[in-house]
Parts: sequence; C-alpha cells; structure tokens
Amino acid sequence: MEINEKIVTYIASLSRLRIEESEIGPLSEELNGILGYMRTVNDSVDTEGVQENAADGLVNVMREDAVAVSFDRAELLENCPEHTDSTPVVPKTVD
Amino acid sequence: MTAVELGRAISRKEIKPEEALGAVYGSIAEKDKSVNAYISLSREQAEAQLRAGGAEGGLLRGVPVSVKDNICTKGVLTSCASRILSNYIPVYDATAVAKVKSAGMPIVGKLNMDEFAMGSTSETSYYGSVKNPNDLTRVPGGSSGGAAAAVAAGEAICALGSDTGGSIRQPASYCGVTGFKPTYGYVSRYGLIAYASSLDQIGPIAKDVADCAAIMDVISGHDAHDSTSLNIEHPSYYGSLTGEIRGKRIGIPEECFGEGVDEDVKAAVLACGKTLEGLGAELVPVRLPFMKYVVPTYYIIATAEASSNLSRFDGVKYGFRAENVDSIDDLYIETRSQGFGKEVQRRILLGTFVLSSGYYNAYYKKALLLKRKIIEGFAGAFAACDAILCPTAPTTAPKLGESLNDSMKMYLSDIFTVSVNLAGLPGLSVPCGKDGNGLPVGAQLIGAAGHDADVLNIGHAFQLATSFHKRKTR
Repeated sequence: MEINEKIVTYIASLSRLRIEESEIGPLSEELNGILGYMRTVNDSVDTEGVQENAADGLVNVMREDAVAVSFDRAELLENCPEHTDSTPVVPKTVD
Repeated sequence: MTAVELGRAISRKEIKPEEALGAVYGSIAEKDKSVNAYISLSREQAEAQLRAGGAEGGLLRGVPVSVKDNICTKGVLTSCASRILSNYIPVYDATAVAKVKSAGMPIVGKLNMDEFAMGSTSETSYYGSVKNPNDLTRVPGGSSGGAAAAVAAGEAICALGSDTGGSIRQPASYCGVTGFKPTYGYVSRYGLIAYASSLDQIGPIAKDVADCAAIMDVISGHDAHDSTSLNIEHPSYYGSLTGEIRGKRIGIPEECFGEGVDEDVKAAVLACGKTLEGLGAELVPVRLPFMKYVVPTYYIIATAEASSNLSRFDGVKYGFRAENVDSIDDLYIETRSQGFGKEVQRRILLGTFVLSSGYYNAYYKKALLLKRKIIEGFAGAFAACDAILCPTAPTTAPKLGESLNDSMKMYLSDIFTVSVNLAGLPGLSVPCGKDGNGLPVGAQLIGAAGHDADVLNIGHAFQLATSFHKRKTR
C-alpha cells in the first residue's frame, strides 16, 4: 500500500489539517484506493520523449515595476477576524 | 425570455429593467426554497446599480445576471459555499463582474455550488445541496449547480459560472441549459477564487448559445490583473453566429460512445451529429486515445494546485477563524479543519501527497507529461476535424446522495469534460434530448484553442434547427 497511517498523519500535518484518530484508518484506505487507481492507469502509459515544458508559443508576462496603490488598508482589515489599526492580530508565534 | 431577447425588449422600452429584475426576484421567492440555487441575494445593490444607470447601448443592458459564489463581488458575501469564507465580503469586483456591471447588467445574487468548486453534484456546499429543477430528487450537477439550476428554473436570466474540470458544462447538461467554457486565458481569472489556476475559467450559463456568445462579448478580453489572460483581439462572439456550418467537419470519437455511456445519452448525442450533418457538416471518425488516463491526470494536477491555492485560508486575514486556540499552528489547524468540508480536505490531502518529496516524480511530474500527451492527442484529432462532438457526461443526473460514497466513481463521471480543461480548449454543452426518465442530455462540442467563435456557431446552428433548449422544466 502506498499510503499508510504514518503517511496520512504526515500529509495532514503538512496540510495543517487535523484528522481524528478514528478517521486515519478509513481515510488511508480511501486515499490508497484513489491513488492506487491513478498510479496503475498512469504507469501503463509510455511518456518516453514527452517534453514536459513545451510552451505552445506563450511567454511569461511581467508588469512594469511601478509602485501603485492597491487597496485601502482599513477596508481590507475589516475582513480580518482580529486586528489593530494597521495589522492583523494572531496568537503568539514565538515562545 | 432569453437574455438577448430581454435586452432587446429593454432597449425598445417594452420592459423596464426594474420590472425584469423584480420578476427574477419573484421567481426566486417562489422556487428557491425547493431548488436552493442561491446562497445570497443582492437586491439593494442591484436596484442601486439600475438607478445609477450609466451603461449605454450593448445587447444586454439592463439584463439581470447571477454570479457563482466563487467569483468576487464587492460588498457582497462571497463564500465559495464554504464555512471558511462564510463571512467574507470582498473589497473588489472580479474583472468579469466589473465588466458585466459596466455593460449595465445588475447582479441578482450569488449562486450555490460545490465547496470551492470541488465536486460534480453541488452536494458539498456548506449551504446545503442544490436540486435539479427537472427532478428535485436529483442533483443539478456541479460545481456550478446553482447557476445551471437557476437558469433552468427561471430563477436567473443568465449566469456566470466557473469550469475547472467540467463545472459549467456538466451541470448545464444535467439541467437542460447551455454552458460554455472559453479557451484558457480568454476570460480574466482575477477575482475568481482559485481552485486549480492552470485549469480554471469563468464562463456563461444561459438558455441558449446566443446568450452565451453575447455574455462572452462582455466578459472576454485581456486583463493586466491576470497574467494568464491572453493579450489578443477577440472577435464579436455574438456577431460570429451566422448559423452557417456547411463544410464543417465534426469529429466523432469512438472512445466517447462506448462502455459506460448510457444508451439514451449515446442516442441523443449521435442524433445531434445527424442534425449537424443535415445542416451541411461532415461527420468524420476521430481517435482520442488518451481518454483512459484523463481522469487520473486531471485529479493529480487539480488537487496539487488546489492544495497550494487553499493554503491561504488560515484564519489570519479574512474568513472564519477558530476560537480557543493557543498557538499560531493551532490557529491554522483548527481553522482549516473546522472551516473546510470533507471533500475539500480530501483533495487538499491528495494534492499535498502528490507534490510531496518521494512521490512528486511518480505522480505529479508523470501527470504533467500525460497532460502534454493529451494536448498533442487533441492536436492530432483537430488535424482531421473542426470540432469534436461527444456526450458532456456519460449519464443523466444521478439521484441526490448517490455519488457521495464513492469518490472514484464520481471523479470518473467527469471523463468527457476534464480533458478539455487540461488542454485549455473551448467547450460548449447544449441540450440535445432527454432520457427515458425525462432527464436532459447534453452534447458537448470541443474546439481547438482559440476557436471559440467556431464552436459557438456550430452550437448555434444546432439550436436554430432544434428546440431542446426551449423546453421548460416542470
């Protein structure tokens, strides 16, 4: 099995998601089912010589490096669950 | 009335825009308790928009439009049908919204959907499932289920949806309306809350192709705010609807008419092909040998991008924030675990896995190579035809609850739509018949990249010769 309970716990921590103990087993089986199917199908296809990054004639576009006002800070902070006049407020980040 | 017909009536002063808007709200009051197509209504803002006036001319001036709830509307709740954004009021309009407003179209309200556009049935919404107006025990499809259901039920004149793996086309098919996903880069994604950035596009859902084309004229175009929007001249999509398709070659791929496709669906879509042939088009067989791996390729790439895009939802700057947390890490974990529904969490975990060290090459990198094969496969098919015709979905609308217990089965129902997003092509779904239970069947027309006007015109020709798009729901 590709995904075991240890891997589920690890991915959950990378994703900042809490998975209940009781759910880890069933979730691991479910993800295995999905990924197992995907792996089987995809491995059966030969991709020798396929160019991953063909750009199809498109190029990246950058804007001018010019300062512009984007949004009003006070308006943006109104959506913030907890804030001062100028910053969001969060629980302490450093012990 | 279609959007274009209403626009014409308004410009001839046969109907006042306020009356048209009032009629939509009347319909919503009557029907939305059973359909649940809307998450919120923005009546005050819509009426204020009409009073402010400003837009002159244009086919759709005064025509009300409803917007899927993952598209930002300034001052109006934009929730993505998720608890984690259940209190989010954007400070800006998405470019597509700004454009419809400039065209004088008032925004009726925000449409229900699968949470964060992740789903094919509109059952994963924090605000409850949407029902199919053709049969309220069935799903409308997803993720733009609210949009398709509202148009089908007469609760919206037209709508803006979004499509990452079929989310405009499949619900249009299940609900018996018309839906169009443009070529990737034709409509700005600025203000569309991202699911999979290389696949997402905003597009119209409406009563017919003419409406979709008229809406495309409003919303398409280069946007400096979206560096993936293409800097090209767009033709007039509505103006390109000649209805003339003589000599057009319509590709029929055998891979889309085989096992797993309902007989009624096959029959209705092949009949659509015959109608096109009767109008002077030529049917040609084409091969799409990549069909067997489109679904795994899509779900690996889409979930990988989603895991990255959804990492911004952390309770810090906007949206739901969990209470009683002691540390910043707890804030992130509790906010996300309580704020996201099960399907969203499942896809974030899948996406994180396929990008993680040790698995990246086998899953994500492989999927990118397969995506390239799919693009080349389509290019090969388009050497032999001008548009591909296939079912939008293998079946008609399933019953509510049927799809939720088997993720892989639900994912496989997207088989005919996901390849179009992977290759960035235009895709149109038009109603083409009903099955034995009276449920709508959709036919999908796929074009080469940039051939949006062609695809719309073929669909329009079909609708001039048939009346499947005119049938009212019960």
